[in-house]
Amino acid sequence: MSANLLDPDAVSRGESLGLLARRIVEGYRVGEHRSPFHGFAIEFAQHREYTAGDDIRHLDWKVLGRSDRYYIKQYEQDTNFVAHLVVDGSASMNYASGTVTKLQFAKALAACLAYLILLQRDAVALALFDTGLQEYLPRTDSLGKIRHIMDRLASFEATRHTGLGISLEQVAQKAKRRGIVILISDFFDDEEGLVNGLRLLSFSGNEVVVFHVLDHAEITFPFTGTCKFHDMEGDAELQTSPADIRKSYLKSFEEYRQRIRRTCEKFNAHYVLADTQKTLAEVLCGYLAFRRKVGRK
Amino acid sequence: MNFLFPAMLGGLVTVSVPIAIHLLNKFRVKKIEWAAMRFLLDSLRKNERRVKIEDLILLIVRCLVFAVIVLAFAHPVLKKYSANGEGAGPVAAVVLLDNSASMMQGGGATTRFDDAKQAVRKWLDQRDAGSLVALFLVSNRTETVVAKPSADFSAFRKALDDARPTCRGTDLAQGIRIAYQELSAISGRAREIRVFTDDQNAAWSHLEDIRQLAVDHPDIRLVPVIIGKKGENNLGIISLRASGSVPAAKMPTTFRVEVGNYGETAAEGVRLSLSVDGVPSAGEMLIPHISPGATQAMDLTVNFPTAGHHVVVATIPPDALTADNQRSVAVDVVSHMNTLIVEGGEAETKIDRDGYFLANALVPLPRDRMLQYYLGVTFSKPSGIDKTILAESEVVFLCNVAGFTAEIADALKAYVSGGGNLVVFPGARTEPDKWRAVPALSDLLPATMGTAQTPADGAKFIAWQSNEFEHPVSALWNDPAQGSLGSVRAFQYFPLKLKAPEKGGGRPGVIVRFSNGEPAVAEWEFGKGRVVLFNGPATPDWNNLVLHPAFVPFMQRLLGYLHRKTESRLVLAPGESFHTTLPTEFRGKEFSVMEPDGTRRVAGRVEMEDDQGVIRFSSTQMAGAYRIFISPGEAPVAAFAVQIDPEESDLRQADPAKIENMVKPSAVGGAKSLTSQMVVTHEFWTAFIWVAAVLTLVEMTLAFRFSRAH
Repeated sequence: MSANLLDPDAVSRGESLGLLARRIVEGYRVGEHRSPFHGFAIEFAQHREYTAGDDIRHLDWKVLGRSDRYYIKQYEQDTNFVAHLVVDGSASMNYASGTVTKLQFAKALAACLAYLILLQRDAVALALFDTGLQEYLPRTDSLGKIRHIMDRLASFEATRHTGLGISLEQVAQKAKRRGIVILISDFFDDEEGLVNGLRLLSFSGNEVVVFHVLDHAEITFPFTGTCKFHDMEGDAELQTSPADIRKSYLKSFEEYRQRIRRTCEKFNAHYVLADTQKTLAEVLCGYLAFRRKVGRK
Repeated sequence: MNFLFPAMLGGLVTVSVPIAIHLLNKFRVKKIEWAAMRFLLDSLRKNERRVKIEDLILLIVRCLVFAVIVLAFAHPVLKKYSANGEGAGPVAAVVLLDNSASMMQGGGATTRFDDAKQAVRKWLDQRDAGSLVALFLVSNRTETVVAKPSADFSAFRKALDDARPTCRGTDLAQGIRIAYQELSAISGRAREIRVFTDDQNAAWSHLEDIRQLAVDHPDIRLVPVIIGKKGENNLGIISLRASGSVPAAKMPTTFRVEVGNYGETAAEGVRLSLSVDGVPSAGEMLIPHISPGATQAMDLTVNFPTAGHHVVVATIPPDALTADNQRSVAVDVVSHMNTLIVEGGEAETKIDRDGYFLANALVPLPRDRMLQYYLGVTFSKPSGIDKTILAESEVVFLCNVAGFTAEIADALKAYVSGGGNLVVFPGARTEPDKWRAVPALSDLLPATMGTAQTPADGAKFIAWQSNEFEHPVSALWNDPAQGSLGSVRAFQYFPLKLKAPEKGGGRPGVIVRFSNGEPAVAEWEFGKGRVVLFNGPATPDWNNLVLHPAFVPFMQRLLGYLHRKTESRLVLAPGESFHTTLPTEFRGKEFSVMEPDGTRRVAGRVEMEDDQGVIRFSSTQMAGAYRIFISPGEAPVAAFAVQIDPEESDLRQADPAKIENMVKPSAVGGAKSLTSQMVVTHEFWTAFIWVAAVLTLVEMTLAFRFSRAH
């Protein structure tokens, strides 16, 4: 089961592209990523004005002596990062118009990302949530743990409602060090929870990447005839002729998606639409290519 | 709004098809587990009312499409009562053009037939190009010159130009019936029958049948177009026939001519002339006065110089209808006629012989002149009858014969069947039981004889009727000036019981009755011949007939009647086929016919049939005398006459109210009047098809717009 989560195509193409931290991340191990900490040990980066609370050990006494002004020396250092893979495991993720459910797609995406991150000797932490944070696998930088990560992913079943706000708050509490938070969800919850969660994660210095996993039928609404829709996260039922409300639905759904995108942009997070009709490699590599093109800042 | 094919309206059930599909879609539901439910709920909340309205609009439009298509196929039309009988649009019409003899009447330069043709042309000019027209020429037979309603107007016009009036009588019912049959097979347009006629009374003799046809076909208009405001005044010869004794050479033969006055005023001093073979024979006779509606009969005597085929023509001055101002009759004048008297008993003196008085009545001349008389009498015993002697006799009289052997009876039966005439005078020797025992004899008689009896209630005698004679032989004595048969008395007689009419055979008739109504003399047709049965002998033993002054003329008239019956084939109605037999020597020879207008043409060859030469001629449309010749320059081998139907002389028109009342469907069917028939004025099926097409486009547009709008 766990082995299935790794898409060979996605992994091989992802390896060549690598995963580059868009922002300087806080690492606990020297790596190829630039450290968010401005060098206390390795390489001088710049001065900044002293503020109350700064460690006076980093005061540049020479500057103080010459200009009688208090400056702190900052250093730059390449370090590894911790990527928190946050996967939505609510019941709505079980929907599939084809053979692959959104949850299966999300699990595979998370597994591939975890593998790639571990492969480049960065650390991965896994969080699975529905109404709240249900599973949390602390960070690890051992590639040997990838099987354990995948087992945890595979064994998780989606049964409950989505509680995005609470869940992201809990993830934010767990992610004490700044890093990358990769959020994989369909976001079928109130949008306020997403805003609050992203605010928390972003303000705590994390780079947030949002994979919006949607089924192709949810995007195009291709149904005909008379259909009775049953809510996967509730008891609501609705019988209608899809053709009668298609345009209205698509408009409403696109507006919702754009709101999600704007929310992400507001908190400087990458928004990636993951259509389950596409292959995992297509989605993952598309994003990684984009990320490489954007480059380091 | 009416429908030409109302049965198609059953297709309106197809209106339920869109509803059924709509409901089927509602019930055929796909169940889907769905994650993005809130967007659906939101969309539905926003669009629910609009979607329902749009669904309803589409459903109504789709139902309308089906309904309109079905209505189009049902052929909707607008009908109305047209006061002038004219309907709009193309019609399928059968034109019945009356070409009976009465249509030849004319008060001016043209005849009613010419006027009728002109009226048809005018009517045709007003028809739409898509109309279908047929032309029937109608008299007492129907000639379908353009049999099926056709769009070929030029063929119709040519047939109309070629149409000619005939001398036939009129019966419009037959033509109208055929026209209804033809039009019943046509649908999809207004249908009508137009009868162009002079409205002669006789033309509507089967008005009840026509009325029933109109009732049975309320969608087919029957429009009589009356030519002429009223019938012309007309005098016509309605009858010309030989009366009295047998026409014989150098013997006076009487012809009775009847002239009818069908005008509104009395006819005074009508000059009547008679000619034989084109030569004025009897001179002229003036009929002093004929009252309106009355008929005047005149007897004229003609002497035929030679035996053979002669033509007698009666003529009156010309008037509005020339066709009935002449009337012809062909006469086969005999030179000699043999009769056979078979006597049953023996007598010592001539006067006691059973056939003595009869023979004298048949040849009422002194002995020295008997040989010059045309009629010869031969006597025979019953045992002396054979085929040879029978073949030489035109009439055989059986006087007081007890009975016959079966062989002789068979010979007699064969003789009569072949055209011979038999007159029976039963007497004291006659035993009815013996006659009945011989089937051939029993079959021959028009009545069965009972046992001889005397008058009932002890009366000494029973007299013959004195008036109200209906038979041609005895009709002379309806005129008291001719004496009275009421003084003929019977003291003993055989009661006669008339036989029932035989199917396809003889119908017994009574020449004279007793005063109590019992038949005294009966007759009927048997095979090609005739049999006359008296109820007593031709002797003064049982009655005083032979002593009565009327006996001689009675027997002469009886002979003439028997002779004319065999010669009746010489007078034909127009169109009837003439045929006669000739000696075998003429076999294969060409024969020519001289027609009434004097033209002579080769008409065929003499054919052989049953060892006899036979001539057949059927082009007998023209009234008048026809003479048939084998060799040019010789006397005709046969002659016959075609006579116009006497009813055609009465040109008075039928009562319009009666015609309208009888023909209009309203009497049963509810239309307004004959000339105010229900006609199709507008057809809507094409409009309905267009509406259906527009509705289909609207449905497609709406469906597209609605699906995009949602």
